[in-house]
Amino acid sequence: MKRNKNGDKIEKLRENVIKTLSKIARIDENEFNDSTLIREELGIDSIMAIEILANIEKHYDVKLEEKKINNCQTIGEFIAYIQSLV
Amino acid sequence: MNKRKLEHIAFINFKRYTWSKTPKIKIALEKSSKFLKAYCTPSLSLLTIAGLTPLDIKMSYIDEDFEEINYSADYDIVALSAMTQQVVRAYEVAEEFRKRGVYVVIGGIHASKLPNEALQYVDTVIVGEAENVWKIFLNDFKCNKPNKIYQDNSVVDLKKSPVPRYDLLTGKNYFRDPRFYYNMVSLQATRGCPHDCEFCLVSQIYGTKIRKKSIDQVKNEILTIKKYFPNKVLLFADDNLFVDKKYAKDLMNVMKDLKVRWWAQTDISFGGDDELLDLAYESGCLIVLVGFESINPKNLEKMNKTSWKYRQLKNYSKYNENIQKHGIIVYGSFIFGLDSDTKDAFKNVIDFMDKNHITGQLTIATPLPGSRMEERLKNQNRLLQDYGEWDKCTFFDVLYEPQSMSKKELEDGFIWAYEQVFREDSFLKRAEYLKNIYKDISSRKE
Repeated sequence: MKRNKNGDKIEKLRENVIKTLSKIARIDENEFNDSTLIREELGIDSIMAIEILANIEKHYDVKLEEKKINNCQTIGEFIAYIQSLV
Repeated sequence: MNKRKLEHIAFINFKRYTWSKTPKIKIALEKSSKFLKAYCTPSLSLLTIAGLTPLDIKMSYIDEDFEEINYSADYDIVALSAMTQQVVRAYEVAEEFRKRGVYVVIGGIHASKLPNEALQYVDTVIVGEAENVWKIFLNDFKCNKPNKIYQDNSVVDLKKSPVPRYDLLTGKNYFRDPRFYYNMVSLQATRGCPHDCEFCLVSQIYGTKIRKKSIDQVKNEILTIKKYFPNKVLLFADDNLFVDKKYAKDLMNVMKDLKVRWWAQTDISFGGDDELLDLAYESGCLIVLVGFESINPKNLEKMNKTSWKYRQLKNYSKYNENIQKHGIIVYGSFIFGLDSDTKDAFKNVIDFMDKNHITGQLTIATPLPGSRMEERLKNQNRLLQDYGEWDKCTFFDVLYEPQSMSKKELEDGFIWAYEQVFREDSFLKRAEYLKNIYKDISSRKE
């Protein structure tokens, strides 16, 4: 039961993060999956990232580290990083 | 007269010297590269000319930054476009093709200002805008009677301008490592700029009156780009996109539904129109490059005949803040080495950028051939480079004797300014400021 709750929480976080990315990058949510490359495939650059990070920081009341964000290549890695803070 | 074969045209874009040719400046700028990215965009002018070319002619787009030029390919015409800093290379390539009997035509601002120079290296020069003369040239070529110079003095109606051939970019990857470059696809809605600044050629070539494509045309171009490059950021190549504010608002209203993110260039008046700013943000505007040029009133006063930028100086901070408050990042453009710049100019600009939380593009004043600035400096016997050293026109090199400091002081001050803007702590501070704005916007929408 506990495991399911945790699974739901992770799924909710994934949905929220993808929704934020989709809204700011103006890209349909169905184009996002764990292996999608953030910069090369989605065209999200350091300028767009500022708005994305602001929205995520505000939503989850966390502080994201620039260096760790730079190390995230894929959507899956980005979601995993946020998950580690929430 | 015999007809000439016209089955294949190559459109060639040349290597750009992204940074300076002066070793100490080049080294300093490269050190700052983590927080200093360059644009990477295909040549819109070549793609537009390709759009004017009949579809029964094979067309190849070649960008020297990404591929070697094949001089043995079966091209009937090689079409070149080059900025001043690229033109030396363009002439080398032209000579190689001509040795092999391939016909070479060149356009662009440099060749338009110096057509007789260009004719030493190429067969034909298109002076000014090509829309009205390109097909005439192609027909003359086929009839084996091409002219040396094509120039149409009537104003090109942009409503007749074709959709650029973005499909020609699909065969290869013309984008660079996104960690170091802003990869964008450019388009153009308007041409012209009313300000006619002394250092700039835009008003001379395109005029001071703004000409516009129809909103449907621009929409169609955006949809075409999205078809081939669905997630790329767009760059409006217009030198001043928001001059006609009603047109800009109509355009943004249509763009709201197109799901794009985009950059544009503008003057500071953009920041004085809340409705336009709201529409720009809603339609996906990420960042605007604002031509502040200088914060020294003496420089601004002399910059153009109407002293427009001088009169706007009082609005610089207020409008800048207003643009940012609307969720649009400001990328300020500043020029160092103008005649009233003393050694204090560097610190003054850095303080201004810091206080206003803006990053930007710092350049050194460059006397482009054909500009009023070049003519004045030539008359004052202050030009330092020899005629033809166009590859030094990078905007990061000192090409004339500055008036209110030495050449060394200008170079060293410029390096210092770059180091201040593109330091990690400066970057993080600006990012934090902008993040707080986006958090406020997000709160307002909840």
